[in-house]
Amino acid sequence: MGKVWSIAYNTFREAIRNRILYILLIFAIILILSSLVLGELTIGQHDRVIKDIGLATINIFSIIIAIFVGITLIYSEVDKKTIYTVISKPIKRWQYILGKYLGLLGTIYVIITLMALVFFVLIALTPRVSFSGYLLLPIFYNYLELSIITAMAVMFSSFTTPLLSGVYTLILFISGRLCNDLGREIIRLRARLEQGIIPEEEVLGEQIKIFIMDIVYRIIPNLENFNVRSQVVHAENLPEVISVAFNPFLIPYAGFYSALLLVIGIFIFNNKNLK
Amino acid sequence: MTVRLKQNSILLILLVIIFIATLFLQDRIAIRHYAREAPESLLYLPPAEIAPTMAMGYEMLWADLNWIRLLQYFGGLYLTTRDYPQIERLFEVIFALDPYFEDAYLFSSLAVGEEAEKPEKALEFLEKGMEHMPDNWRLPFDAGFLAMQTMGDYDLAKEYFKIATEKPHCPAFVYRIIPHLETEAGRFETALCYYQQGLEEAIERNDEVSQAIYERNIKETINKMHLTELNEAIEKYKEEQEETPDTIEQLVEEGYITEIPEEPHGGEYYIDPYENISSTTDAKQYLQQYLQALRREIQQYYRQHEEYPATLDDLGPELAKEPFFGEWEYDPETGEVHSSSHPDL
Repeated sequence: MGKVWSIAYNTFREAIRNRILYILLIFAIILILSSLVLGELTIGQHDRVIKDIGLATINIFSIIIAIFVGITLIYSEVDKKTIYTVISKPIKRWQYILGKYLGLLGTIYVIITLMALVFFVLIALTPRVSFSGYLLLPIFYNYLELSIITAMAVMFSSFTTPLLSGVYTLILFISGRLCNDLGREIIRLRARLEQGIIPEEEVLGEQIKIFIMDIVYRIIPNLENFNVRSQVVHAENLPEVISVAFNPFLIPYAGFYSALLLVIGIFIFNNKNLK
Repeated sequence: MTVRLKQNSILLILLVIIFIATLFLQDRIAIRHYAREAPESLLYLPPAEIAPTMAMGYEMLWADLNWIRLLQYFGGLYLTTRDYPQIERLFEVIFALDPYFEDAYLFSSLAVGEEAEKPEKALEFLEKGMEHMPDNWRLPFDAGFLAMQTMGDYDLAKEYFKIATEKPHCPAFVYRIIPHLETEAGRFETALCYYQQGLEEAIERNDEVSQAIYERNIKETINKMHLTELNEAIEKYKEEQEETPDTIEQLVEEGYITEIPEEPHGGEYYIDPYENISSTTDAKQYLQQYLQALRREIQQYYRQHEEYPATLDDLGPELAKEPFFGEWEYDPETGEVHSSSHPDL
């Protein structure tokens, strides 16, 4: 694991030197602070607007950073041929991918923590806005969600160009965010089928459609599961937050899904001819 | 001067000129923008059914932004045309994005129900909120208030207020609205039953404030009940006898009522100058409020002119008239005013 950590540490050092990162971070902080102005434009919803905008900004910008930095991570090293200096050493390719992933994830976690700190300081300093510890839950889920999105970006970066990698990651991310809608549609179609309102000649076609949709629903990562911002902002006490928003299965889910994506990435990278 | 310095100076001047031009254009654009009708800017609103899907996990953020947009839209039109063609659509999108947005539901009652004069639609929104927040008392309370105030449907209002009273943390005043509605609907006996029950409960829990309120409510309801009965009798008298009785006792003598009821506040019932039956307590209370308003106007006149008005006519014809056909006894030196019909006030 020592080699993995070395690559991770170097990836982290390299990533935090990236100027785009700082520009995005500054934009995110400006947006979080702008919630103060938007809060003033509402009637009696000051508290809610600041929390909603803050949490959404942290989420949006951490995803943008993960995609922007992640998609160039491996490709740029292959392109600049700096990868040869690494793989010529006794380092296995899986160690390289895993190290890259952990390094990038560490960078993103530092960025999220910084944005969260600004957000919490803003809440603490703003009169009429109540600070509650359970706002940490959406931040924690943000960490989990980002472990999957970063794995997506690293996986795509292991075999394609940054542009295509970005497009693929974005498509997978959007699909993940629409997963619950797909689930609801499957339920609706199944109910229609059970009610017998579909003409007999169309039943088979409908069943195939549901089957395919069901497979897609199970394959794509359900990122909507990590979205508890609404429940947390609306909740009035900790037991309510735990009952409506906390799901312990999400931790292993994020771990397994990230691992799955990384294994695919490692498999492709292992079979890639770098000569 | 070096070439670079020269170039930089030109660039700086250009920058200033472009900046000023941009500011000027921005002002022009703003003038044109505000002159346009506000609804145009809302054409880009997605249909409520697909808004949550389009939000892609940021429903709360979009709900907030649309909420701010709605407030601007409502505020802008409230100051101009007071016609709100897109307001329902905006609320629909907000509720689709965040069905737990309590303040938006409450505001829909005011904006859609009262201001846009679509109380049925506002009730639909409030019902939706009640579905999502079954423990919330404010939503059925607002629905009841809307039904009572805007629609004048006391039975519907009562239903909503009853729902509100069944919710946790519902304040005591909501319970007292139900008998008030019964009174308004002319069902005095039912109202008295509610008040009596409330009074007994207040005595049981030693709640002196509520006890006093219930006692006052009971007296007011009895007074209203008496006045309704007496006025029905005098109307019948006028219709059959083709004249107005000189005294209230004539109604007893002619058999229109069995006896003159006791005025619960300790006053008396009498035939007022408008040929209706009134209570001396009510009249006194009314005159007292009238006098307070008149005295405020006199003081305001004094602050503006540094002297009291020479006559009460200076304050306008409405205030100059004593409402009970008496005379105002007014002193322009001190600004003091009294009524000849009730000199003690």
